[in-house]
Amino acid sequence: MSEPSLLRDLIRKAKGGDLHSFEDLVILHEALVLRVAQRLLLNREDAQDAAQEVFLRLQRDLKHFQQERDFAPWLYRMTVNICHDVRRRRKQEIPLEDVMEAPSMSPDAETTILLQQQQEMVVAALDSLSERERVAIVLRDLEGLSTAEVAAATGVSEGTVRSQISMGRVKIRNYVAARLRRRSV
Amino acid sequence: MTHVPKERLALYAGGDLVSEELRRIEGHLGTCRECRDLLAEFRGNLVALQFRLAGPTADELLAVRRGVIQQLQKRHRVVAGWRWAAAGVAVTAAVSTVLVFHPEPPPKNAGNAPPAATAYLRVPYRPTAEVSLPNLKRELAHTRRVRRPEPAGIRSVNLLAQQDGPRILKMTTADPNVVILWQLDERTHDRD
Repeated sequence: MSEPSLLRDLIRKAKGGDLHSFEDLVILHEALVLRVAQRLLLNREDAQDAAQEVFLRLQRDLKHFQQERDFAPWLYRMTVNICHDVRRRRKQEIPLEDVMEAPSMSPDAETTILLQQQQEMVVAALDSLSERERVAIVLRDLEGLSTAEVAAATGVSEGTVRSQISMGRVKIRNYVAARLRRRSV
Repeated sequence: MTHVPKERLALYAGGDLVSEELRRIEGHLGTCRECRDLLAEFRGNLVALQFRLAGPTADELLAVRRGVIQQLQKRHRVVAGWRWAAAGVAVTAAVSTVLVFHPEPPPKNAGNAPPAATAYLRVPYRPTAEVSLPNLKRELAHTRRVRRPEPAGIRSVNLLAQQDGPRILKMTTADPNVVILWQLDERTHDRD
């Protein structure tokens, strides 16, 4: 059975109330949902809560999903919306340093520190973007969706997505450049 | 030299430009160090983001999966509990309805019998030795519950005088279908 037909079969069974098929759907998509949630929320705990909420809402709303449509854009859209809600509920500042830990790097300590600092700055810059710009950057640059797919997931035109991506990249660059300049002075 | 606008270079960095503009920017980048540096910044930031936000660990994925399944099982138990409760209420209501509205089985000759009130008047209950005790109790209870019809009282009396004929009393009753015509016995009348 090919992957799309396997997925379609799982969705059909899960819509019919089969809990095991729904669990398989969770296993197939948990990485996508949690990854997007982490990238949008920049907080691991919030991302976990959001991912769980996505799947619980998916279970509730799966009956509304039309099988002839693509599942991934629908799931992306649901994830983006829930992350938006979670982020709006969260009032406090994002503790970036203990949120997204850097993966282990090269043994060169100085290089490692510099790279980590740059990464922290870039993540902070991403966090400083507007909600729409951040979503566009995450879906396009980190998730690798095409402009059309981002447009489908966010419900705006491709031209708008292109503008959001462009503005987002420029703002990140300016944010990082300004902080690097401040440090070197 | 006119530099590539930042916004266009940002799109170029992510491979979001096509055809003519793409070629124009590539041509410019070959000759402009400043724009090449800016392009390197865009791409460096993108790589840093991708590296830093690489994705969840296996433990994190497992935690999400467990959380979802626990929530679903909890929800399932709650729904099942409500279903059982609803079923219990439905059964209780059904039993209560039967007990209230059908306290005893209908009479066996219900198909041929006249309406209950009439039957009561014409065939008063006479217990016999053959009736078992439970049936007897049920019959007695039934007899007490049957609403006795109002007595067919006389509502009006009129004397109909006929020329050269017997006198007749016309009596109307509570039942409009029942009218009593009583021909007076002249001899008895005379004697009274």
